[in-house]
Amino acid sequence: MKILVALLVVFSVTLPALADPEADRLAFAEFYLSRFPSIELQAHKDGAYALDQAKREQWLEMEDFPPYEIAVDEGELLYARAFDNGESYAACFDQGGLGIKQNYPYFDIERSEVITLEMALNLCREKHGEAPLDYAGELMGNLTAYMAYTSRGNKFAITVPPEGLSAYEAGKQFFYERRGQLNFACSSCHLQSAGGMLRAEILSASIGHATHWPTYRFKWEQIGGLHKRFIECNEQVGAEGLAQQSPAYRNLEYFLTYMNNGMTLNGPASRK
Amino acid sequence: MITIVSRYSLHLCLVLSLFGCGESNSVKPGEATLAKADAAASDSPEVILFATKSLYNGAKQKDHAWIATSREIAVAEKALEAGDLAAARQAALRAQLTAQASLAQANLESQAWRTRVP
Ligand code: HEC
Repeated sequence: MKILVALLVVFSVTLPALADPEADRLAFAEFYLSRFPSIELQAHKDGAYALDQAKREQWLEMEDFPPYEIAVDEGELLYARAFDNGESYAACFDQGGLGIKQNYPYFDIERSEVITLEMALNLCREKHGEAPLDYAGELMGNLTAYMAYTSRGNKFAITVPPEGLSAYEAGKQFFYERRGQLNFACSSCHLQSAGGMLRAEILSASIGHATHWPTYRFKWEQIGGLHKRFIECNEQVGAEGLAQQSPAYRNLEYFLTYMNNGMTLNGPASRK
Repeated sequence: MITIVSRYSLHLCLVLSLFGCGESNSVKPGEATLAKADAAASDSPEVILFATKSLYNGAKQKDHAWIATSREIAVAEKALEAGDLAAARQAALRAQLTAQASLAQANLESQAWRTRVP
C-alpha cells in the first residue's frame, strides 16, 4: 500500500500539466520579449524584416509595388461571383466574410476538427454544389488574399474551447517535436535560434508567423498559404512535408495562430 | 485498501500509459516489424525492402517520415528492376537505417518535445 501511494505521488508530480493555451501564449510572448528587448512584439508580424534593417529597407522598396495586388483584385471578383445555385461565399460567413480572418482557424465542435479559412471556403463551395478548389492553386490563393486584405488591422482572437484542447495540444507537440534527418523542431529554428542566421537568411520569430498569409514569395513566383511554407520548412530538415490542410497541419496552424493572438493581421504580404 | 486501489486504479493506468507502459498492448505498425527488419540484413534486397517499407509506413503514419527513406526506397526499386542486386541491396539497407532512425525519433519525440516549451 505504502509503495502504491508513493508511486502515485511520484507519478502525479511528473504528470504533464493540463493544457492552458493562455499560459502558453504568455510564456511564448515573454520568450521573444526577452530575446529581442528592443523589438516590440507587434513588429514581428514582418518576420525576418523586423530583425534586419538592410533587408527591411529592400523589402519596403519591394512593397511599393506590392506583388500580391493582382491576387487581391482577382480574389475580390472571384469572391463576388455567384455559384450556379445563385448563392455566393458571402452567405457562408459572418459579416459576409469581410474582415473575419482574425477568427480563423477555429475548432468546430460538431465536426470535431480545426477549420481553417481555406477549408471553410471549400466547405462553403461543397454546401452550394460547387467542386472544391485545389488548396495549392491560384484561385484559393486569390480568394484568401482578398479575405486577408479585408481583415488588415484586425487582431487575432482565436479561441480554444475545452473540446478543442486536444487539437491545440497536437499542434503544440508538432511545433516542438524534432523531425527529419537533420533532427530539428520548428522551435529549434524559430524560437531557440530566432534572430540567428541560417545560410543567408535570418530566422524569424514564430510570434509573427500567422499574421500575413497568404504571401507572395518571389521564390515561388506565386501567392501561397501558410501550409505551403510548413511543407518547405519540413523538407529543408529532411522530413517529408504533409498535404496542405492535412489534420496535422491544421492543428499546427491552430496552435501557432493562438500563439499569435493579439497580433495585428497584415496579409497578404510579400517575402523573398 | 481495496476501495483506494480501485479508486486510483484508473488514475494509475492513465499515469502508466503516459510513460509508455500501456503502449505495449497496441501494435505499432513500424515497431512490430523492427526486429524483423533488423534480421533482414542478411536477406535478399527484396526482403529488406519489404520490411523497410513497413517501417517507413509506420513513420509516415506518425507524420515523421524522412525524405531520405523514400528516396533510397526508390533507388533500390529501380536497381531491382534493372537487375542490379548489389546496388539494390545497398540502397535498401540505407533506406532501412533511415526508416529505423525516423521511427526512433518519432518515439523519443513523443515525450521529449515537452522539454522545449518555454
Ligand atoms: C532549419 C531551420 C528551420 C526549421 C526547423 C523550420 N523553419 Fe520555418 N523558416 C526557416 C527559414 C530559414 C525561413 C525563412 C526566413 C524566415 O522568415 O525565418 C523560415 C520561414 C518560416 C515562415 C515564414 C515566415 C514569414 O515571415 O513569412 C514560417 C511561418 C515558418 N518558417 C514556420 C515554420 C514551422 C511551423 C516549422 C516547423 C514545422 C518551421 N518553420 C521549421 C527555417 C526553419
